[in-house]
Amino acid sequence: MDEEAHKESLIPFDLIDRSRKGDHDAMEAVYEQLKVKFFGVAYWYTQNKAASEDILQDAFIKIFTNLHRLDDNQAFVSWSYRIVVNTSISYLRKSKKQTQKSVSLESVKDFVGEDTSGEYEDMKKTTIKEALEELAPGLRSVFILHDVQGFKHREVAEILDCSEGTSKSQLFKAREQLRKKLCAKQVL
Amino acid sequence: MNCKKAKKLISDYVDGELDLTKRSSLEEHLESCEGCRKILEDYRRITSTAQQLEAGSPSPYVWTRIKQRLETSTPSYEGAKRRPWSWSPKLTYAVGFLSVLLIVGAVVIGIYYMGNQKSLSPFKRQDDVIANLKKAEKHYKLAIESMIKAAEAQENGMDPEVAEVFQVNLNLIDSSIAACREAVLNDPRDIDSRNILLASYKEKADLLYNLLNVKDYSPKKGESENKI
Repeated sequence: MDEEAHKESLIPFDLIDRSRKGDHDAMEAVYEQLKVKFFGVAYWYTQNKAASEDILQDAFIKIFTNLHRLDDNQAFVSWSYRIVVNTSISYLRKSKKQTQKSVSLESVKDFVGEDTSGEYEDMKKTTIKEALEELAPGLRSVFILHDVQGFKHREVAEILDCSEGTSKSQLFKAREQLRKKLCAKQVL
Repeated sequence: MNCKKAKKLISDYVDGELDLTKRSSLEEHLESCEGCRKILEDYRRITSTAQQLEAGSPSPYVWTRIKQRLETSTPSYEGAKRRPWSWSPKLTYAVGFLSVLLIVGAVVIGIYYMGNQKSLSPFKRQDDVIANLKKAEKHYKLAIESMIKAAEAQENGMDPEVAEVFQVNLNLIDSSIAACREAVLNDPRDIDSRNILLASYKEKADLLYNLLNVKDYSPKKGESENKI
Protein backbone atom coordinates (compact mmCIF):
# COMPACT_ATOMS: atom_id res chain seq x y z
CA MET A 1 0.00 0.00 0.00
CA ASP A 2 1.04 3.57 -0.58
CA GLU A 3 2.13 4.71 2.83
CA GLU A 4 1.77 8.41 2.06
CA ALA A 5 -1.71 8.23 0.63
CA HIS A 6 -3.07 5.67 3.04
CA LYS A 7 -1.46 6.24 6.39
CA GLU A 8 -4.77 5.54 8.06
CA SER A 9 -4.77 2.11 6.46
CA LEU A 10 -1.56 1.00 8.09
CA ILE A 11 -2.51 -1.49 10.73
CA PRO A 12 0.03 -2.47 13.40
CA PHE A 13 0.92 -6.13 13.04
CA ASP A 14 0.25 -6.59 16.72
CA LEU A 15 -3.41 -5.68 16.17
CA ILE A 16 -3.65 -8.12 13.28
CA ASP A 17 -2.07 -10.91 15.34
CA ARG A 18 -4.38 -10.27 18.27
CA SER A 19 -7.41 -10.12 15.98
CA ARG A 20 -6.34 -13.42 14.50
CA LYS A 21 -6.48 -14.89 17.99
CA GLY A 22 -9.99 -13.57 18.55
CA ASP A 23 -9.22 -10.47 20.64
CA HIS A 24 -12.32 -8.30 20.19
CA ASP A 25 -10.60 -5.14 21.40
CA ALA A 26 -7.97 -5.52 18.71
CA MET A 27 -10.68 -6.24 16.14
CA GLU A 28 -12.50 -3.09 17.14
CA ALA A 29 -9.29 -1.07 16.79
CA VAL A 30 -8.79 -2.52 13.29
CA TYR A 31 -12.40 -1.74 12.45
CA GLU A 32 -12.10 1.84 13.68
CA GLN A 33 -9.05 2.39 11.52
CA LEU A 34 -10.57 1.03 8.33
CA LYS A 35 -14.30 1.66 8.64
CA VAL A 36 -14.48 5.00 6.82
CA LYS A 37 -12.39 3.83 3.85
CA PHE A 38 -14.25 0.54 3.57
CA PHE A 39 -17.60 2.21 4.00
CA GLY A 40 -16.60 4.58 1.18
CA VAL A 41 -15.88 1.66 -1.16
CA ALA A 42 -19.20 0.00 -0.33
CA TYR A 43 -21.03 3.30 -0.64
CA TRP A 44 -19.72 4.06 -4.12
CA TYR A 45 -20.92 0.66 -5.25
CA THR A 46 -24.38 0.91 -3.74
CA GLN A 47 -24.90 4.63 -3.09
CA ASN A 48 -27.10 3.55 -0.26
CA LYS A 49 -26.07 4.03 3.36
CA ALA A 50 -28.02 1.11 4.83
CA ALA A 51 -26.75 -1.27 2.15
CA SER A 52 -23.19 -0.03 2.66
CA GLU A 53 -23.44 -0.68 6.37
CA ASP A 54 -24.66 -4.21 5.68
CA ILE A 55 -21.73 -4.74 3.32
CA LEU A 56 -19.33 -3.31 5.89
CA GLN A 57 -20.71 -5.65 8.48
CA ASP A 58 -20.49 -8.74 6.25
CA ALA A 59 -17.03 -7.81 5.04
CA PHE A 60 -15.62 -7.42 8.56
CA ILE A 61 -17.17 -10.71 9.65
CA LYS A 62 -15.43 -12.37 6.69
CA ILE A 63 -12.17 -10.58 7.45
CA PHE A 64 -12.05 -11.63 11.09
CA THR A 65 -13.34 -15.15 10.64
CA ASN A 66 -10.91 -15.82 7.79
CA LEU A 67 -7.92 -13.98 9.18
CA HIS A 68 -6.30 -17.24 10.26
CA ARG A 69 -5.95 -18.05 6.55
CA LEU A 70 -3.81 -14.99 5.91
CA ASP A 71 -0.14 -15.69 6.56
CA ASP A 72 1.31 -12.35 5.56
CA ASN A 73 0.34 -9.43 7.79
CA GLN A 74 1.85 -7.09 5.20
CA ALA A 75 -0.94 -8.10 2.82
CA PHE A 76 -3.69 -7.52 5.38
CA VAL A 77 -4.99 -4.21 4.05
CA SER A 78 -5.10 -5.15 0.37
CA TRP A 79 -6.59 -8.55 1.30
CA SER A 80 -9.25 -6.80 3.37
CA TYR A 81 -9.99 -4.33 0.59
CA ARG A 82 -10.46 -7.23 -1.78
CA ILE A 83 -13.04 -8.71 0.59
CA VAL A 84 -14.89 -5.39 0.72
CA VAL A 85 -14.85 -5.05 -3.08
CA ASN A 86 -16.01 -8.64 -3.58
CA THR A 87 -18.71 -8.30 -0.93
CA SER A 88 -19.92 -5.09 -2.59
CA ILE A 89 -20.01 -6.67 -6.05
CA SER A 90 -21.72 -9.72 -4.62
CA TYR A 91 -24.32 -7.46 -2.98
CA LEU A 92 -24.96 -5.69 -6.27
CA ARG A 93 -25.42 -8.97 -8.08
CA LYS A 94 -27.78 -10.27 -5.43
CA SER A 95 -29.88 -7.18 -5.18
CA LYS A 96 -29.81 -6.61 -8.94
CA LYS A 97 -31.18 -3.25 -8.23
CA GLN A 98 -29.45 -0.48 -10.03
CA THR A 99 -31.25 2.41 -8.42
CA GLN A 100 -32.80 4.35 -11.20
CA LYS A 101 -32.25 7.77 -9.76
CA SER A 102 -32.12 10.19 -12.62
CA VAL A 103 -31.80 13.87 -13.03
CA SER A 104 -33.69 15.30 -15.94
CA LEU A 105 -31.66 16.78 -18.74
CA GLU A 106 -33.57 20.03 -18.35
CA SER A 107 -32.59 20.39 -14.71
CA VAL A 108 -28.97 19.79 -15.65
CA LYS A 109 -29.10 22.33 -18.43
CA ASP A 110 -30.24 24.93 -15.93
CA PHE A 111 -26.91 24.63 -14.21
CA VAL A 112 -24.76 24.84 -17.31
CA GLY A 113 -23.07 28.17 -17.56
CA GLU A 114 -22.84 28.64 -13.81
CA ASP A 115 -19.37 27.19 -13.54
CA THR A 116 -18.40 29.12 -10.49
CA SER A 117 -21.40 28.23 -8.35
CA GLY A 118 -21.35 25.53 -5.72
CA GLU A 119 -24.60 24.26 -7.12
CA TYR A 120 -22.93 23.41 -10.39
CA GLU A 121 -20.22 21.48 -8.57
CA ASP A 122 -22.89 19.61 -6.63
CA MET A 123 -24.70 18.80 -9.84
CA LYS A 124 -21.47 17.51 -11.36
CA LYS A 125 -20.94 15.26 -8.36
CA THR A 126 -24.52 14.03 -8.53
CA THR A 127 -24.21 13.29 -12.21
CA ILE A 128 -20.92 11.45 -11.71
CA LYS A 129 -22.54 9.39 -8.97
CA GLU A 130 -25.36 8.43 -11.30
CA ALA A 131 -23.03 7.68 -14.18
CA LEU A 132 -20.92 5.60 -11.81
CA GLU A 133 -23.91 3.41 -11.08
CA GLU A 134 -24.16 2.53 -14.74
CA LEU A 135 -20.56 1.35 -15.04
CA ALA A 136 -19.86 -2.36 -15.12
CA PRO A 137 -18.60 -3.64 -11.73
CA GLY A 138 -15.04 -4.15 -13.01
CA LEU A 139 -14.74 -0.61 -14.34
CA ARG A 140 -16.43 0.78 -11.28
CA SER A 141 -14.00 -1.05 -8.99
CA VAL A 142 -10.97 0.51 -10.65
CA PHE A 143 -12.53 3.98 -10.75
CA ILE A 144 -13.57 3.86 -7.08
CA LEU A 145 -10.20 2.60 -5.91
CA HIS A 146 -8.05 4.84 -8.11
CA ASP A 147 -9.93 8.07 -8.61
CA VAL A 148 -12.14 8.19 -5.53
CA GLN A 149 -9.99 6.42 -2.96
CA GLY A 150 -6.64 7.50 -4.37
CA PHE A 151 -4.86 4.18 -4.76
CA LYS A 152 -2.03 3.79 -7.25
CA HIS A 153 -2.39 1.34 -10.12
CA ARG A 154 0.04 -1.02 -8.41
CA GLU A 155 -2.19 -1.08 -5.34
CA VAL A 156 -5.39 -1.40 -7.36
CA ALA A 157 -3.83 -4.35 -9.16
CA GLU A 158 -2.94 -5.94 -5.82
CA ILE A 159 -6.43 -5.46 -4.42
CA LEU A 160 -8.26 -6.65 -7.52
CA ASP A 161 -5.75 -9.36 -8.27
CA CYS A 162 -5.04 -8.17 -11.79
CA SER A 163 -2.09 -6.62 -13.63
CA GLU A 164 -1.23 -2.93 -13.53
CA GLY A 165 -1.86 -2.83 -17.26
CA THR A 166 -5.39 -4.10 -16.73
CA SER A 167 -5.95 -1.53 -14.00
CA LYS A 168 -4.82 1.26 -16.35
CA SER A 169 -6.88 0.09 -19.29
CA GLN A 170 -9.98 -0.41 -17.11
CA LEU A 171 -9.56 3.08 -15.68
CA PHE A 172 -9.27 4.53 -19.17
CA LYS A 173 -12.51 2.77 -20.16
CA ALA A 174 -14.26 3.87 -16.97
CA ARG A 175 -13.25 7.51 -17.42
CA GLU A 176 -14.17 7.48 -21.07
CA GLN A 177 -17.62 6.04 -20.35
CA LEU A 178 -18.16 8.57 -17.59
CA ARG A 179 -17.00 11.39 -19.85
CA LYS A 180 -19.45 10.40 -22.56
CA LYS A 181 -22.31 10.18 -20.08
CA LEU A 182 -21.44 13.54 -18.55
CA CYS A 183 -21.05 15.16 -21.96
CA ALA A 184 -24.45 13.77 -22.96
CA LYS A 185 -25.91 15.43 -19.89
CA GLN A 186 -23.98 18.59 -20.72
CA VAL A 187 -22.22 18.60 -17.38
CA LEU A 188 -18.79 18.69 -18.97
CA MET B 1 0.74 11.22 -33.20
CA ASN B 2 -2.89 10.94 -34.30
CA CYS B 3 -6.00 11.49 -32.15
CA LYS B 4 -6.75 7.76 -31.80
CA LYS B 5 -3.38 7.09 -30.23
CA ALA B 6 -3.49 10.30 -28.20
CA LYS B 7 -6.87 9.43 -26.65
CA LYS B 8 -5.46 6.18 -25.32
CA LEU B 9 -2.62 8.02 -23.62
CA ILE B 10 -4.55 10.91 -22.09
CA SER B 11 -5.81 8.90 -19.12
CA ASP B 12 -2.27 7.83 -18.17
CA TYR B 13 -1.06 11.38 -18.82
CA VAL B 14 -3.54 12.73 -16.26
CA ASP B 15 -2.09 10.30 -13.71
CA GLY B 16 1.52 11.11 -14.61
CA GLU B 17 2.06 7.54 -15.72
CA LEU B 18 3.64 8.25 -19.11
CA ASP B 19 7.35 8.01 -19.81
CA LEU B 20 9.16 11.05 -21.12
CA THR B 21 8.99 10.07 -24.81
CA LYS B 22 5.25 9.41 -24.82
CA ARG B 23 4.56 12.46 -22.71
CA SER B 24 6.46 14.78 -25.07
CA SER B 25 4.82 13.25 -28.07
CA LEU B 26 1.34 13.63 -26.54
CA GLU B 27 1.97 17.19 -25.42
CA GLU B 28 3.05 18.06 -28.95
CA HIS B 29 -0.21 16.62 -30.26
CA LEU B 30 -2.29 18.42 -27.62
CA GLU B 31 -0.86 21.77 -28.66
CA SER B 32 -2.37 21.38 -32.06
CA CYS B 33 -5.56 19.39 -31.29
CA GLU B 34 -8.45 21.12 -29.61
CA GLY B 35 -10.57 17.94 -29.43
CA CYS B 36 -7.92 16.06 -27.46
CA ARG B 37 -7.34 19.06 -25.23
CA LYS B 38 -11.05 18.98 -24.41
CA ILE B 39 -10.80 15.29 -23.51
CA LEU B 40 -7.82 16.03 -21.28
CA GLU B 41 -9.76 18.80 -19.56
CA ASP B 42 -12.79 16.50 -19.13
CA TYR B 43 -10.66 13.77 -17.54
CA ARG B 44 -9.13 16.30 -15.18
CA ARG B 45 -12.57 17.52 -14.16
CA ILE B 46 -13.78 13.96 -13.63
CA THR B 47 -10.79 13.02 -11.48
CA SER B 48 -10.91 16.19 -9.41
CA THR B 49 -14.65 15.75 -8.83
CA ALA B 50 -14.13 12.09 -7.94
CA GLN B 51 -11.59 13.09 -5.30
CA GLN B 52 -14.20 15.33 -3.70
CA LEU B 53 -16.84 12.63 -3.50
CA GLU B 54 -17.63 11.87 0.11
CA ALA B 55 -19.42 8.85 1.38
CA GLY B 56 -19.62 9.81 5.03
CA SER B 57 -19.19 7.41 7.92
CA PRO B 58 -21.02 4.31 9.02
CA SER B 59 -23.38 4.52 11.98
CA PRO B 60 -21.84 3.87 15.39
CA TYR B 61 -23.89 0.74 15.96
CA VAL B 62 -22.31 -1.12 13.02
CA TRP B 63 -19.45 -2.33 15.20
CA THR B 64 -21.94 -3.47 17.85
CA ARG B 65 -23.67 -5.62 15.24
CA ILE B 66 -20.36 -7.02 13.98
CA LYS B 67 -19.30 -7.84 17.53
CA GLN B 68 -22.60 -9.57 18.23
CA ARG B 69 -22.25 -11.67 15.11
CA LEU B 70 -18.65 -12.53 15.93
CA GLU B 71 -19.69 -13.66 19.39
CA THR B 72 -22.49 -15.87 18.10
CA SER B 73 -20.76 -17.26 15.01
CA THR B 74 -18.40 -20.21 14.98
CA PRO B 75 -15.09 -18.80 16.16
CA SER B 76 -13.00 -20.13 13.29
CA TYR B 77 -10.33 -17.60 14.19
CA GLU B 78 -9.87 -19.08 17.66
CA GLY B 79 -6.24 -19.83 18.26
CA ALA B 80 -5.66 -19.78 14.53
CA LYS B 81 -7.06 -23.28 14.44
CA ARG B 82 -5.65 -24.53 11.20
CA ARG B 83 -6.94 -27.87 10.12
CA PRO B 84 -4.15 -30.42 9.80
CA TRP B 85 -4.86 -30.17 6.13
CA SER B 86 -7.36 -28.17 4.25
CA TRP B 87 -9.10 -28.91 0.96
CA SER B 88 -9.63 -26.10 -1.44
CA PRO B 89 -12.79 -26.20 -3.56
CA LYS B 90 -10.66 -27.04 -6.62
CA LEU B 91 -9.07 -29.96 -4.81
CA THR B 92 -12.48 -31.14 -3.69
CA TYR B 93 -13.66 -31.17 -7.28
CA ALA B 94 -10.51 -33.03 -8.25
CA VAL B 95 -11.21 -35.62 -5.56
CA GLY B 96 -14.81 -35.81 -6.73
CA PHE B 97 -13.67 -36.37 -10.30
CA LEU B 98 -11.15 -39.00 -9.24
CA SER B 99 -13.86 -40.68 -7.21
CA VAL B 100 -16.16 -40.81 -10.19
CA LEU B 101 -13.36 -42.44 -12.19
CA LEU B 102 -12.87 -45.00 -9.44
CA ILE B 103 -16.60 -45.68 -9.33
CA VAL B 104 -16.64 -46.22 -13.08
CA GLY B 105 -13.68 -48.57 -12.65
CA ALA B 106 -15.55 -50.51 -10.01
CA VAL B 107 -18.66 -50.79 -12.16
CA VAL B 108 -16.60 -52.00 -15.14
CA ILE B 109 -14.94 -54.67 -13.01
CA GLY B 110 -18.33 -55.65 -11.61
CA ILE B 111 -19.80 -56.03 -15.09
CA TYR B 112 -16.69 -57.84 -16.29
CA TYR B 113 -16.79 -60.53 -13.64
CA MET B 114 -20.53 -61.01 -13.98
CA GLY B 115 -20.23 -61.37 -17.76
CA ASN B 116 -17.35 -63.86 -17.71
CA GLN B 117 -18.37 -66.22 -14.96
CA LYS B 118 -20.68 -68.38 -17.14
CA SER B 119 -17.87 -70.17 -19.01
CA LEU B 120 -15.90 -71.16 -15.88
CA SER B 121 -16.10 -74.22 -13.63
CA PRO B 122 -18.20 -73.76 -10.44
CA PHE B 123 -15.14 -73.70 -8.11
CA LYS B 124 -13.08 -71.45 -10.35
CA ARG B 125 -16.13 -69.22 -10.79
CA GLN B 126 -16.61 -68.94 -7.02
CA ASP B 127 -12.95 -67.92 -6.45
CA ASP B 128 -13.12 -65.41 -9.28
CA VAL B 129 -16.35 -63.95 -8.00
CA ILE B 130 -14.84 -63.31 -4.58
CA ALA B 131 -11.58 -61.96 -6.05
CA ASN B 132 -13.39 -59.62 -8.42
CA LEU B 133 -15.84 -58.58 -5.78
CA LYS B 134 -12.90 -57.64 -3.56
CA LYS B 135 -11.46 -55.57 -6.42
CA ALA B 136 -14.76 -53.75 -6.89
CA GLU B 137 -15.06 -53.22 -3.15
CA LYS B 138 -11.52 -51.86 -3.03
CA HIS B 139 -12.31 -49.28 -5.69
CA TYR B 140 -15.51 -48.25 -3.99
CA LYS B 141 -13.81 -48.00 -0.62
CA LEU B 142 -11.04 -45.82 -2.09
CA ALA B 143 -13.61 -43.51 -3.63
CA ILE B 144 -15.67 -43.38 -0.45
CA GLU B 145 -12.61 -42.80 1.74
CA SER B 146 -11.39 -39.88 -0.37
CA MET B 147 -14.81 -38.27 -0.35
CA ILE B 148 -15.21 -38.75 3.40
CA LYS B 149 -11.90 -36.93 3.87
CA ALA B 150 -13.08 -34.07 1.67
CA ALA B 151 -16.41 -33.97 3.48
CA GLU B 152 -14.74 -33.92 6.92
CA ALA B 153 -12.47 -31.11 5.79
CA GLN B 154 -15.50 -28.96 5.19
CA GLU B 155 -17.70 -30.19 7.97
CA ASN B 156 -18.30 -26.73 9.45
CA GLY B 157 -19.77 -25.41 6.24
CA MET B 158 -22.97 -27.44 6.33
CA ASP B 159 -26.37 -26.90 7.80
CA PRO B 160 -26.64 -29.25 10.85
CA GLU B 161 -30.08 -30.53 9.78
CA VAL B 162 -28.84 -31.41 6.30
CA ALA B 163 -25.76 -33.05 7.81
CA GLU B 164 -28.00 -35.16 10.04
CA VAL B 165 -30.09 -36.36 7.10
CA PHE B 166 -26.92 -37.31 5.23
CA GLN B 167 -25.63 -39.16 8.27
CA VAL B 168 -28.88 -41.15 8.65
CA ASN B 169 -28.73 -42.14 4.98
CA LEU B 170 -25.07 -43.10 5.24
CA ASN B 171 -25.85 -45.31 8.24
CA LEU B 172 -28.65 -47.05 6.33
CA ILE B 173 -26.36 -47.70 3.36
CA ASP B 174 -23.63 -49.00 5.67
CA SER B 175 -26.11 -51.45 7.24
CA SER B 176 -27.12 -52.59 3.77
CA ILE B 177 -23.47 -53.04 2.75
CA ALA B 178 -22.70 -55.09 5.88
CA ALA B 179 -25.73 -57.38 5.35
CA CYS B 180 -25.04 -57.93 1.64
CA ARG B 181 -21.36 -58.53 2.22
CA GLU B 182 -22.13 -61.28 4.70
CA ALA B 183 -24.64 -62.84 2.29
CA VAL B 184 -22.13 -62.76 -0.58
CA LEU B 185 -19.35 -64.32 1.49
CA ASN B 186 -21.74 -67.09 2.55
CA ASP B 187 -22.88 -67.71 -1.01
CA PRO B 188 -20.80 -66.02 -3.73
CA ARG B 189 -23.22 -67.38 -6.36
CA ASP B 190 -26.04 -65.28 -4.95
CA ILE B 191 -26.34 -62.77 -7.80
CA ASP B 192 -28.92 -60.65 -6.05
CA SER B 193 -26.74 -60.11 -2.99
CA ARG B 194 -23.73 -59.27 -5.16
CA ASN B 195 -25.70 -56.77 -7.18
CA ILE B 196 -27.22 -55.16 -4.08
CA LEU B 197 -23.78 -54.97 -2.47
CA LEU B 198 -22.26 -53.16 -5.46
CA ALA B 199 -25.34 -50.96 -5.76
CA SER B 200 -25.02 -50.06 -2.07
CA TYR B 201 -21.40 -49.03 -2.53
CA LYS B 202 -22.38 -46.95 -5.52
CA GLU B 203 -25.21 -45.38 -3.55
CA LYS B 204 -22.85 -44.47 -0.74
CA ALA B 205 -20.34 -42.97 -3.16
CA ASP B 206 -23.12 -40.99 -4.87
CA LEU B 207 -24.44 -39.76 -1.55
CA LEU B 208 -20.99 -38.56 -0.48
CA TYR B 209 -20.46 -36.90 -3.83
CA ASN B 210 -23.75 -35.06 -3.41
CA LEU B 211 -22.76 -34.15 0.11
CA LEU B 212 -19.59 -32.49 -1.20
CA ASN B 213 -21.53 -30.59 -3.82
CA VAL B 214 -24.03 -29.37 -1.23
CA LYS B 215 -21.15 -28.08 0.86
CA ASP B 216 -19.42 -26.43 -2.08
CA TYR B 217 -22.50 -24.44 -2.95
CA SER B 218 -23.36 -23.52 0.61
CA PRO B 219 -23.52 -19.68 0.55
CA LYS B 220 -21.49 -19.18 3.71
CA LYS B 221 -18.77 -21.50 2.56
CA GLY B 222 -18.69 -19.99 -0.90
CA GLU B 223 -18.45 -16.49 0.40
CA SER B 224 -15.77 -17.19 2.91
CA GLU B 225 -13.47 -19.21 0.72
CA ASN B 226 -14.12 -18.50 -2.91
CA LYS B 227 -14.74 -14.82 -2.91
CA ILE B 228 -12.14 -13.50 -0.63
